[in-house]
Amino acid sequence: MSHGRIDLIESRCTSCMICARECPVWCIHIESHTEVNADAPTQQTGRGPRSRTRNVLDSFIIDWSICMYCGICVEECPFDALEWADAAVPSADLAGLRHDIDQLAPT
Amino acid sequence: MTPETSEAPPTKWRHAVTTANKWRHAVTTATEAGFTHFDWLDCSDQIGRTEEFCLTLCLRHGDPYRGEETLIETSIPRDEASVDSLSDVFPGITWSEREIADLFGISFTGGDPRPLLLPPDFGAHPLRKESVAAARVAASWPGAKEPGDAAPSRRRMVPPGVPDPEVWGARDADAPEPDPADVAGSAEGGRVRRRRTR
Amino acid sequence: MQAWDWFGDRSLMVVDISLACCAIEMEAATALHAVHDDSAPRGQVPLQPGDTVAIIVAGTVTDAVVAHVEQIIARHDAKVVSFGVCASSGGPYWDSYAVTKGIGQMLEVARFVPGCPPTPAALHSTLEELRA
Repeated sequence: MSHGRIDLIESRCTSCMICARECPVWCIHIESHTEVNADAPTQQTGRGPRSRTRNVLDSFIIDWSICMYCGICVEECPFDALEWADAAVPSADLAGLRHDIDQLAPT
Repeated sequence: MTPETSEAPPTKWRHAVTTANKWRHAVTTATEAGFTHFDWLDCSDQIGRTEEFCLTLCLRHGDPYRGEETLIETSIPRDEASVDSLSDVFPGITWSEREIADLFGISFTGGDPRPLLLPPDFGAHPLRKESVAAARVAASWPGAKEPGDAAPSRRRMVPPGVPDPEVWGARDADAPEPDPADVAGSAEGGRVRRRRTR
Repeated sequence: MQAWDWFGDRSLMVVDISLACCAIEMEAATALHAVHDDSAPRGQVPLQPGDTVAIIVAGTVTDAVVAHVEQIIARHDAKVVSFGVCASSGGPYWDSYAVTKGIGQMLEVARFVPGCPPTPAALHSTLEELRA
């Protein structure tokens, strides 16, 4: 395995923000929102019933024009949602180097 | 670090600590003992431990590559950051002294006062720990959001390298200059805690 | 000005402005290219009028140096390649007091090659795209 790029396995990501906070160069940008999970049973708390919520990932951008391939995000992710992959990121213009969920998906 | 001149015999010196006013004396004593090759000069900001800079000189005995080396160290107070230049002892040290003058704001008395790396109008000493990386302050930190929140967190988080806004930045214009130790200390990152007042 | 005739047919002449550790990666890329491609001439040849030129800015560009980089590039009608994240955005040094936050701010850049450092293959495929 060479360090060509970092893949995001979307189904494993919980939008916990740990990678975005650990990234030394601030190249990971995450957008997420909270949804009520209708299927889950409500939770009884001291203040009455509370519905279960979950985070939904809207956007996960790695800016390849800044990333220094240190791999701290891969190491820190508690859910193994980030992985090294062989294929290098192709050259582009600056906007084209901001890869979102679709482009970060493993091939 | 004890601010005393080492009394150890010069030939067995490995690491000597001296006061800033004896800096020149300590170095010339070492050169007279045969440590004639200037290897390097370095500086570190000790803020958070002491209100001083630590200046370290490495000399070698005879052979520049294999000669025994000795370190001579001195502490320079922040509020009066000045020490004797050694440019007449080792001409090559001028480069290092000018670099340290630029980056730490230490003046070397009797040395070359011209800036080396920074433009003359730069106006700051970027390796002082209270020197803030302005680019980080200006950029919005992607980690400021909480999971599931679209907007930055109400529990304020500041990233590493950016000081607490209450200490540095959007402050009361009439307030006194922030204490360098507070600026350096608050730039460690994490949740903002109210810092103890002195 | 000396340049590499990258494809051996004067279809793309490559000039490098190597400024930091990516300079070593440029050397590796040119050496590897010469080994793998028999048609690639060894060493550099002088540029001639009418050549298609790619200028590769490899490595950290500081505020003190950026004017010189601009000067060199202004002398040629060339496609500019930003090689590595330092030249592209400042990279690991984007917050530095001394580093330019990307040459795209002052120059028209044809391609930004990501990587810290980019691989020789990444440079080669970029040059193939520029040649087309």
